[in-house]
Amino acid sequence: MNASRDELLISRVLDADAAASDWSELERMAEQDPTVWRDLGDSFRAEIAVRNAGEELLGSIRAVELPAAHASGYGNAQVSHAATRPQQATRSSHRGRIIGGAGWLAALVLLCAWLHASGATQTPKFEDDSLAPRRLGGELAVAGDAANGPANSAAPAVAVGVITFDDALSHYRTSGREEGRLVNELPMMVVDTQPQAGSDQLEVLYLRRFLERTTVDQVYELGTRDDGTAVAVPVQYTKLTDRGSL
Amino acid sequence: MTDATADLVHRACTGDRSAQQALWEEHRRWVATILLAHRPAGADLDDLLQDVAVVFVERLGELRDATRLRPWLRTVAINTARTSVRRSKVQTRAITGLDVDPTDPQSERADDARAATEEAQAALAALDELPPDFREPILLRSMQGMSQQRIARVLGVPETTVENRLARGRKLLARVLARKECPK
Repeated sequence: MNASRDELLISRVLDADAAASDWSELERMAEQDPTVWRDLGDSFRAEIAVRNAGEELLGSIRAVELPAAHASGYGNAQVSHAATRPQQATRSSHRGRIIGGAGWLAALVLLCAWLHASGATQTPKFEDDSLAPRRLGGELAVAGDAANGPANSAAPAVAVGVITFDDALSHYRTSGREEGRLVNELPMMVVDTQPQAGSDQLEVLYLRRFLERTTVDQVYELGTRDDGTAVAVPVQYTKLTDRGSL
Repeated sequence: MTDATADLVHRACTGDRSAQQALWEEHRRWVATILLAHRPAGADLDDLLQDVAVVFVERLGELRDATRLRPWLRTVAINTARTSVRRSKVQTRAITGLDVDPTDPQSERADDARAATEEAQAALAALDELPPDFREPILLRSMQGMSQQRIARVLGVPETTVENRLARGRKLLARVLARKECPK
């Protein structure tokens, strides 16, 4: 399908390739039919929109890197099965987007810093009563941790064996809501899917997202001293709200 | 193609990792543009590009003529875009199985979509309505700044054909966009 003369002239104008004679011809056409100017304007707008869309879309693809490959000699390379199958490579790019978005990383750093500074991570497991094994019902088998010792007599340090993943998750939800620590559970986010070889099933990688609430006296973030070592730095309340995290 | 580029392609073909990286970085945006021209509506560009990256590493050794790198990459990109139709159906089934609604306003994907400007989205949607014969030259010209001569070489058609497709496609694109703004 050949373009009409006015379409060719407008296209040349958009490409900055229009000669003086092209402009003259376009003006003559517009004298006969003023809608030519409107077409030129519409085409300019469309061109700018396409360029902007391209910048926006293509600007975000820098994260797509080549997958790792085994040494291949001359000829075809073998892409590492463990790390670079298309689905898994895709998964990596999705992960990057997830971690990079919406201040989650900042929130995570702040939370980790607070936990570290408060010493919460150094205490035995299940120090928090809401997660203590004794609350999990009669089927739970618990064992003390000889090295760390129990946090208290009713909450031994380590639970082993019989609690299932679903039981633990269910308990987390129930007790979390009862105590007000679990504010909401956001919809799961599917990160990737891939067919399972030799079956009709699909492997699904997904992210659970829980919104929790806690109360602390002070929040810290990780800073770095001049010698490169990490240091916990108190964060001012106004600074926190500015960030929109926590 | 310069001698340096030809040497780079040759080294990449023989498995030189740094040469492959350099080539990929040089052509990544171009490949993305081809994918954009041929992808099914709504297919994730990053996913498609990642798939091409895998093929690039696996199959580059098959390239015997360094000057054919771009046509070869274009073929890989087009094939990748076409096969993605089947995969997107699989993903839809999986998402349904988990009772996760991809259009949920709280989902990350919905956030991504909202983050894009309305005008850019409208332009992409309008591009999707054009036949690929028109879409590809427009994208290569407007997003990659390629000359009509180079586009003609890549597509394997006469330069006058490219000029005609650009002119006709731009007019169609402007009409589609105008129609979306004023549905009546």
